Amino acid sequence: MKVNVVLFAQARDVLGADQLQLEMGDRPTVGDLKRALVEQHPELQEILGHCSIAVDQEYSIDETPLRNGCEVGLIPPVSGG
Amino acid sequence: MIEIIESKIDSAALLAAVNDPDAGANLLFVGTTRRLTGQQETSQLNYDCYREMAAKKLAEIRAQAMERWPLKAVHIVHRVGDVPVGAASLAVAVSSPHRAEAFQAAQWIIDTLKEIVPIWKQEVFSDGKKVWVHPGASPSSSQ
Repeated sequence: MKVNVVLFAQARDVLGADQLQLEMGDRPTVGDLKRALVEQHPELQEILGHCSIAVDQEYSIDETPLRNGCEVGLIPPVSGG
Repeated sequence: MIEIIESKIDSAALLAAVNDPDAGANLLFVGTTRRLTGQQETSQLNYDCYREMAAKKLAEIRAQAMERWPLKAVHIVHRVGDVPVGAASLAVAVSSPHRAEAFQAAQWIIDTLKEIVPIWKQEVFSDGKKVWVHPGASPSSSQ
């Protein structure tokens, strides 16, 4: 299935895009998504180690399942305020 | 009230808006763009934001604060986009019957916001260099 990932801040600058599409296998989890991100976009490796993953605007863990059509956000360490 | 805006924050209006006949304490925090970080001079901050999630997280923080302390009102406004030196990027206003809970709640709201709300600042230095602020990650600059 295809998963859409939205990018912000340094991750967006590294890729030069504000989103990307990933091709994933069946019943993927957030852990699978992180591995696929590094494989398909190795330039993200450094920042990815510091990022959280949001699924449908909620922070996730590696075991969180991904549904078809869900929105995944790559969240670098935040610095609001 | 929760707001994410791209224009100037009216902090006086925010403070006035939390006033309540049953409040004896009205507190306003305003975070502004600071000119100097160490020896480096900032000309402005650019804020990026995951708008939908940031609004959701700000609303959760507000609801939790109102549950935890006997507050009368809580308003949080975050400005995103370009914020020049001296201008406000964040305003938090709370009111409560007594001052202790207003101080505690405001401190907790700001600390929690800085931990979980998906908003990011990019420092734009006076020499034109730009750096995303990602606490814990190694800095990388562009331009």
